[in-house]
Amino acid sequence: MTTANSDRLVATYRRQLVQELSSLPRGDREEILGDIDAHIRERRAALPTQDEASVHNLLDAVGAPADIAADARERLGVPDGHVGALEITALLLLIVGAPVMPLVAPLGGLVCVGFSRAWSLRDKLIRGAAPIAVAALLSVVYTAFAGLISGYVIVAALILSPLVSGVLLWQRLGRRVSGGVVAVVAVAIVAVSIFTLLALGGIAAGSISSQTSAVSSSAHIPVRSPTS
Amino acid sequence: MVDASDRNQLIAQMRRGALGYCVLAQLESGERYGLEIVKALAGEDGMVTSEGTMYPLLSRLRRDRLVATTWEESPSGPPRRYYRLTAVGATALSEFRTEWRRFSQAVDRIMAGAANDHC
Repeated sequence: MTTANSDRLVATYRRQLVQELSSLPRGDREEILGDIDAHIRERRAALPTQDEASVHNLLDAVGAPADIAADARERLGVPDGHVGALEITALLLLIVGAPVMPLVAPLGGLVCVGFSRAWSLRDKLIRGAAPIAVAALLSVVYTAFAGLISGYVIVAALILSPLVSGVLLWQRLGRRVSGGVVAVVAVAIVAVSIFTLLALGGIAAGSISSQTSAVSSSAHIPVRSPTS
Repeated sequence: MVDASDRNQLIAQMRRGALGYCVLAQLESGERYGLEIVKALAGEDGMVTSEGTMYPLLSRLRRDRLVATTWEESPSGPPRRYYRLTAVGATALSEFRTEWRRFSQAVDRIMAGAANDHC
């Protein structure tokens, strides 16, 4: 009975440790976890009794998962994954910026990613830059070989690849991005999708409407200037 | 000069910095596995505040090639990862030892001198 409760204590501890170590590269994480598992196993085997108090003391001596993780990040030079305005801007530019301002927004996003300390260099290159670079390369190769410019390929290269980068980088930050931020980003994505659909619908409806809107908007311009 | 929290932080940082070399010193007499190293250092007052933090340190020492590891069968339970000093590690340790001796002796002399002046 007490052994089952003690097992549960160790399992809970381990679950917290796995979660706290999640920002480490996989190799380091698995090595440290394996070592601490072995440590706990051997310490437990040496306990005179397996009661809960003894196991509590044992786990206290091993240390709080958050402390071990903080120490590991410092020792191994892993960024702490702190999410601030720079990271949010980067993700917004990559995920929702592309349809609004193709090329400009994703490039701005990548610059922000470059300056951020929340991602490791490896993540910046593989998750941030690589999807966009690969999509750009493929679209150039496709255009060169097929001899024609495909709308689908351009959409994939300009809009979907920054989206993929943004989501991959976002995923890396994991639970450090708060729920409020997620909600704001989700609303922004929906808004931009609707905007894009409306814009596409407008184009499909023909050029006349866009011409008239251009005329009507240009008609508004002189209204202010004579007064100033 | 500095308040108590700064002082505690300084002590913690010094301990943290020296801990890696203490691990290397533990391996001078031969290879050891993680828990052996932890037990040896935990015996010294205040050297190991949380046992789990020893493993990221060992990881780091291995990455810096100051120690090398091999798995060996254990008489009880699963195989253990044994750590041993590399040539690079031995050099780093002897350099640290020289520097540490100079530093600690100088600080000791100054502290002793200051105490005598005070009396």
